[in-house]
Amino acid sequence: MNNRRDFIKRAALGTAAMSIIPSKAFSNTSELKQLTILHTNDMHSHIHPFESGRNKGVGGMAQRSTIIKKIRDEGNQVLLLDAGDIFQGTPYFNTYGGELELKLMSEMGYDASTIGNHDFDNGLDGLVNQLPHAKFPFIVSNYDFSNTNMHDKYLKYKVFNKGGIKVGVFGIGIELDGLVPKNLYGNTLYQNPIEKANYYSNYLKVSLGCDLVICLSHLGFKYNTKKISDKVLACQTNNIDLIIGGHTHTFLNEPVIVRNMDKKNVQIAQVGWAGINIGRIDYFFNQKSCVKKVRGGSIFIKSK
Amino acid sequence: MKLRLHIIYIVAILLSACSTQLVIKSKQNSIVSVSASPDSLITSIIEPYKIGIDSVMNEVLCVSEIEMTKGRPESLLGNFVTDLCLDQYSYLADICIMNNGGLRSTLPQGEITRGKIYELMPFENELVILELNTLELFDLIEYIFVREGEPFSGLSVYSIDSCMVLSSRDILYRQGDDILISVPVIASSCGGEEEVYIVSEIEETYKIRVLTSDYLANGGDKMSFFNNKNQLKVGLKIRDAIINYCKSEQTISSKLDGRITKYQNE
Repeated sequence: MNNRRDFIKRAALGTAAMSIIPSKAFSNTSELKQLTILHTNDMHSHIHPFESGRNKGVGGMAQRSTIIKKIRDEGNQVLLLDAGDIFQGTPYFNTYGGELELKLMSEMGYDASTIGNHDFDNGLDGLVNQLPHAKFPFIVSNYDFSNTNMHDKYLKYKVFNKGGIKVGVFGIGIELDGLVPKNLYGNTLYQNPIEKANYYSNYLKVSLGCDLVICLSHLGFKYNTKKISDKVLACQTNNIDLIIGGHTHTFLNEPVIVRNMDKKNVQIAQVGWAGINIGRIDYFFNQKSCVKKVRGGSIFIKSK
Repeated sequence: MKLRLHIIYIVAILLSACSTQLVIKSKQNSIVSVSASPDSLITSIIEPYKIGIDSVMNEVLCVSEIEMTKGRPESLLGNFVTDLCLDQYSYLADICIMNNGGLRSTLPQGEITRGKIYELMPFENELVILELNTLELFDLIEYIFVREGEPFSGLSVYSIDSCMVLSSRDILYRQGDDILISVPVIASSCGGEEEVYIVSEIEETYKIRVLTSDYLANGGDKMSFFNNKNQLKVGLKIRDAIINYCKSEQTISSKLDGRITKYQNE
């Protein structure tokens, strides 16, 4: 509760700064190429801003779209990503099964999403039937869908070329047993997140020579138990630059930095849930496509 | 209040595969609040879907006297949902348990629409009844304590240091076909099931009928005491149980009643 109150307070303070993130703070970055990563997680079918309660007037997909367009208008390369649990949470999902959520994300130009546990809530068929509405791929590297009707409808990874910057994206899903009823996930096989993350991050960074490797994760930010989380994943891998997380609905104002196995820094980002915030991380690359600067933050969306 | 706009940078020099990398933190601006107008293109895509939703979901079912939120160890919302479910099936079940994580939103004070109940309980989960013996009931109570509270109804539990004590003031047992009698099961458990102490022998044979969701009964949230138990489906979704209750009452409310308490000996 305290965290949330603190978060709202800080958000309110931030209102005074009118621009989305002031660019004058980086006046000496003109010779660097900028890539802006925008991210959401756990939107849970929240189409409209909240109508009541402490979040009244906050969030909303039409409002988010306006902000995304403004950021695109800045003229930098943009990668727009989601970390899963698009589905379930309002009557829009009960009534239309996720169709509207995917249509709107496509219209906003989402580049990719991973699959959250609630994206199985209408079963594998419920997910597969909605996929034609998404003009972006679902990326997950540690679910084996070979023996399901999802087998040819997802990617293990994808490389994006953003103005000459090679960005490798892979996805990590949470263990389904005990979380999702078996009849909903069917023959989906959950595979070890650390093994798969190491395999795909090495492949993307070393074999394919990606300049930036991003993991879309639905593991959750951290746990008090031994349960695998984004923090654990960051520590036990060696080629991930950024983890865009979800599941635990954790509000991080800016990415948290964790050292990986090679003592290199991994950024972990997550922006709560329901589209209340959109995360923004700016990477600045030099002519050799090396990251020279990183700046991360979060945008709290209010209705006008 | 005057906001100081000077920006503090914390610059960390980091090693990367490429070369030196700076992580820039601007303390004042890591979170910014932006007021945005709706994108009219997005609104126009939403509109036909919204019309279909509104016609059904804007129906006012009842009025809530208070705002109800979820939480641990007990909560207004958790007590509300488990109490109303158990009330509807008190002739079939002794206690009810749900999961805090399964309550997906807050119920506001004031008018409660059908849509609000969908947001509270979006899942299609159904109510089922399973029978536990006394030892398994202790596993359930231990689970509640380990999780630092989950919504439940029909019993009071308290712990003293590491001991758990069950007071059954609310448990009714059925004997024969239609006679309900109250049997006090007073038992305690300290540090592990092998030490479970049951006051009288006869009580060990009692079956406690637990109303819960099919999600939890089928292994959701690892409630292992439900493993391999026969399930009686009552034929009602949890959401519909809440909707039925709201429609039958003009106003709804809830209170915290200390059904779960932790005492610590000094």
